[in-house]
Amino acid sequence: MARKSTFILQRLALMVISLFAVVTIIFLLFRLLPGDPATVLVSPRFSEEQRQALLRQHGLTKPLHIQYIAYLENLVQGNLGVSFQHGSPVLPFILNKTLNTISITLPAVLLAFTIGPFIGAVFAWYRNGPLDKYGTGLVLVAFAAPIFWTGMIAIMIFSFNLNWLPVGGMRSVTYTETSLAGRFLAWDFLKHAILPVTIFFLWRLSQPTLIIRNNMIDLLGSPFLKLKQAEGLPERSIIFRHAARNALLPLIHYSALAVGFAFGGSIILETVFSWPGVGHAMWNAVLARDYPVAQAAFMMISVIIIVLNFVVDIISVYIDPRVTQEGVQL
Amino acid sequence: MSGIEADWLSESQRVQLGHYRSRAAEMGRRFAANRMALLALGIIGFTVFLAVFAPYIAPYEPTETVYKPNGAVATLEEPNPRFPMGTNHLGQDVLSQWIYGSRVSLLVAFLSGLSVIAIGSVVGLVSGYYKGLVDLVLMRVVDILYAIPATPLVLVVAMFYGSSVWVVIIAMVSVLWRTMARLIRSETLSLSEQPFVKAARAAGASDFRIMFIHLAPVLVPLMLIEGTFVMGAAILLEAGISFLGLGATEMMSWGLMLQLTFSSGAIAVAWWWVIPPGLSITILVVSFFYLSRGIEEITNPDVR
Repeated sequence: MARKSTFILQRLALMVISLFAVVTIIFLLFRLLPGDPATVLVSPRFSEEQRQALLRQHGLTKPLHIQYIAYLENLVQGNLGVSFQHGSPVLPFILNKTLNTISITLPAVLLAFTIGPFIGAVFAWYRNGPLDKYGTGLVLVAFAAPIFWTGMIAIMIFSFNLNWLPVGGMRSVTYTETSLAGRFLAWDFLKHAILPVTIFFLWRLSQPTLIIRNNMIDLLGSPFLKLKQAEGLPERSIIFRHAARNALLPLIHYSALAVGFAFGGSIILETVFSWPGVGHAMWNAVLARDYPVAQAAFMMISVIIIVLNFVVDIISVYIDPRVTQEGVQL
Repeated sequence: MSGIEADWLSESQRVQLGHYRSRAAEMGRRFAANRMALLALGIIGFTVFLAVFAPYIAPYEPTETVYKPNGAVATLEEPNPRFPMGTNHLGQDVLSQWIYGSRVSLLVAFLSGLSVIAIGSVVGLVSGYYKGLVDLVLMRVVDILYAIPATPLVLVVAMFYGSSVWVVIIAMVSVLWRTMARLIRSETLSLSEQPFVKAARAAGASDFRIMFIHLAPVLVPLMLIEGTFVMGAAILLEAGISFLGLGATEMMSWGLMLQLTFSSGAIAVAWWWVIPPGLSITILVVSFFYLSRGIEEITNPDVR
């Protein structure tokens, strides 16, 4: 018990340190620029007065350490500044976009982590046979194929040639939002989401599949399963009930990492499908040099990764006693 | 003279070298028996050939405008004998762009891979060898790096420092060494308990000597396994950044080709322009993954 709480405290400390470090790295990245920050940060479209006003407004004329303290203060208060492009506060804007990103990343990762283990178990069952060899190869190809390319091919086939699905976006142009639930609970949303979710799913499928395959092959040689075999259990039940159950535990950890990766990949995927999520917002912001939005989007993606990792570490402690034993030795 | 000729070696060193040679020969045989790894190596070799001899192989310059026999600019030509892979919307030869595009992918792969091997191995060795506070601090840095998403980081760095292949490589390497450091550290931790390390220490070898002369050679297979994997991952990352329009703009790359197809709206019509760059990235990345697996299998036959 004491072990468990020490572990949780350690993870909590790590989360806080990571959040602080990432926030600091982002601060430095966005301010320690080559040359004059004003010319890089502020679009040349602005007039001299506008530029000075913007710099003052964002506190960019003050010394660095004062800027840093102000930055941390603002962060704690949830104040992420105002967008250069549309003048609206950044935080509600980014939260709204994050919701749109979750609406495709979460289903894709959940799908990959429910279907992948089954495929992996089947590969392990037929290990080193043709199904395993070619199947593993295909799963690897799906991982190695750039998602912007597979996305473009999907659009080429399903939107331009077959005309079944929309080219991009999250809702049709005629749609006007009345409620948050109405945004996602609609046939129109599903039609837009199907391609990006599928591409994300195929991209993330390799990890759960291969982890389960390899873990199960390892486990099949373990004394525990030898015992089950000696008890006379049929091999199918050994594979799916006993081996798979043990192999599944590490997957919980990887599923959180996968959501993080999917968020990182959202910049590329959302650009292909014009999906109005946090990644698309970040790309637009980078192109327009709208640095408050770019900074907030970057921070959002990092914070999601850090918090998810923490949550998963905590969950793992409760379901897999092996975790603390490894985790305690810092 | 058969065997080892170098007369500047002592007898025991010659015997030792002989062991290495027979081990290398054994590994070579195992590698040759691994058909996938061999094929992967062949594909990487072919790509290196394309990249090195691009100016001699490519019929045109990658950004040169090409013309039809009647003098008109050859825009969006389907593949034909004159342009085997067709042309793009600006009237540039896709085959030539594809050949030149291999250069960026390979440059990114090898430079990132080698840098990650160098940084990750040194950090891992130091962390695992010294343990204690050094280890604690270095591994927390690695933990923090895991919280930084690579694509957004490279995007932001490219936005500020200008889009060039060097900026992209430096930004990628600054996070990608994390896994290498973790792997090397955990191997070093268990290796430092081995008798040969204790013997070296007892014989008065310095820490530096133990880390880099005694431990590092044993870790080479692990460095290569993770290093080749990182090479594949780096190709993918760079292609993504180029696709976003912030990669190597000074050189034609497969990612940039796809960026042009996408931004020009040609994906609706020009399949010959969309398929080759993406397929090449996929095949090259898979090759690096299989090469990594091949190295794992020959250096550690129990893996299967």
